[in-house]
Amino acid sequence: MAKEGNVNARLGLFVLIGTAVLVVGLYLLGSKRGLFSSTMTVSAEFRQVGGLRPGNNVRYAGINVGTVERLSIVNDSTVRVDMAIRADQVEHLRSNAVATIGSDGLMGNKLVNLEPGDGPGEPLAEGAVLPTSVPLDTDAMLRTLDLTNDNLAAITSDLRQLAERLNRPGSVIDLFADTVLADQLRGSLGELNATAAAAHAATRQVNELVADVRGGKGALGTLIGDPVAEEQVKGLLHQLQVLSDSLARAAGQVDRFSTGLNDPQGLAHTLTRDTAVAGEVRRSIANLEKGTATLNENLNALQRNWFFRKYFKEKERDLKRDGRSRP
Amino acid sequence: MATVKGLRAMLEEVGDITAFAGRFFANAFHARFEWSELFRQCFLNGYRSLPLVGITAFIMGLVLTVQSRPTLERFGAASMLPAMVAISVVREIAPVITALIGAGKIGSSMGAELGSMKVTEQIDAMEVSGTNPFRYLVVTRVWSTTLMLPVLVVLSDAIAIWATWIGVNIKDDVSWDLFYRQVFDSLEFSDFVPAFIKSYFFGFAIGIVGCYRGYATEKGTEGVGQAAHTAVVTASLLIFILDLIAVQITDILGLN
Repeated sequence: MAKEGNVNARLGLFVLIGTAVLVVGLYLLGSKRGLFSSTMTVSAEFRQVGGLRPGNNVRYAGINVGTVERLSIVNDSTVRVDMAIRADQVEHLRSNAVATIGSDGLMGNKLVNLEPGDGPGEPLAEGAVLPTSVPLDTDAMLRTLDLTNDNLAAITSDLRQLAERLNRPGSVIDLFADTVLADQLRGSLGELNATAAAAHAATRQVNELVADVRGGKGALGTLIGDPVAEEQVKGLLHQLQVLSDSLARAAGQVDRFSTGLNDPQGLAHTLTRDTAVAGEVRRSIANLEKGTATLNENLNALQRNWFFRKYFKEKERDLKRDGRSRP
Repeated sequence: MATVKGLRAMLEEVGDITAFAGRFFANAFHARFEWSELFRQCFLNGYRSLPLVGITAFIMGLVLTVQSRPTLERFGAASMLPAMVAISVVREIAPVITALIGAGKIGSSMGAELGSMKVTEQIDAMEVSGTNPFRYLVVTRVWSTTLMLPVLVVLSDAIAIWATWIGVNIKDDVSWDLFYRQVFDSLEFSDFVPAFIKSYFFGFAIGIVGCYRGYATEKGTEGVGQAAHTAVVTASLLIFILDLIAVQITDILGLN
């Protein structure tokens, strides 16, 4: 009897352990899906859900807060995802939280990611419809990658052709390998450097000059910067303009005079250019000088003549009178 | 001709087993139940099978982990080892291996025990003494295997997962807390429940086949050996067929 009781006890222990393991396992599996805690159902509408299944996790900021409860097609472009959010996590969520479809690692299960929305939102309520954003579409990524691959193939083909051309004799590569040319280039570059340095210094000086001028320093600066000087310069330029006009007129008169002088029929031309006339004139002048001297001598003789003495004495008296009345 | 004869013999066998199963159900829910014999059989078929099943499960989990690691490492997915092994163990390997161990140990012992009782006419003597031998011998044994195999499968799951943790820690350093969270995050009810339910059918098949083979034993002591042998073979074959059917049903129900 005691032996039978012992057998039953061991059997009971065996069954209890098995049942306990079963219960713990079921609890762990159930708690993952929120079966043993109260939940709140919210939903989000997506264009496509990329293989999401009921039971997949819902994460908020990377933490599991619930599971996908149900998937239903609303119309040809909308899929509604109902999510069971655990009640103990609801207080942290807002109704403007944005839902996206993501995946757990590169090869993991699909899941719904909730991210905080912009600004403060209302507390999450039963039946709320969360805004969604377009999930990362791996198909689109692969399509882009395919395009990139094509481009890469074209680029590598071009590069191969370029490399083949460069490898031919007489190509640019030979120039690169030419040491004499390299030395010459190095020398040229040295000269270019020196020229550039001189140009740089000149530029700096010009810059300084311009800065001085802008700052009103120096004659040019004063001229540009001083309004009084500017007026003076304007006046000077006006006067110069007037002078220039006068000079132009005078030059015109001189020109006309010169033209007249050059006229072979004119007196001036005859006097200046005709040497025979000049000789005659010179002789006439000489004769005139002689005649004048003779005449002067005759006039002196006349003044001493008694016949004209009275006239000269009256003239001398008038002269004296005029001299006294003058201040 | 031999093929037709073999086919006919097989159909007869299937018919006999079905009729035997029908007879079991006719007696299974009878008011007068042999509880003490049922407990004794549960002890023998469940508790006594645990060491063998436990060792097998431990080795199964450890070997599966160690053998799977190189392949997963090649894909850079060694971190998925706990999840992968746990899903394999829970869904398929633990129920089937436990059932096969059960078929080998329990089925053969039933075939041999009932066979020897048959050939020594102990069963006939029970009938004469007023005891219903079918209810006392067969119903209790089939119930015990049907009830105990799921318990063995659950314990086998637990031991195999624990062995997986040891296997993972041979090369990695993973805490038990992180490990069981990884395991239960990857497992779903759809992984565990169908496997658990089919283990009842496996247990029932082992009990029915073992008892049928023993109950149908003829030709003296030679028949006892043959009964033990054919009980294991038939039960193993039935386990695989039932597993195939279970997989198809879970697939149709969308639980895969």
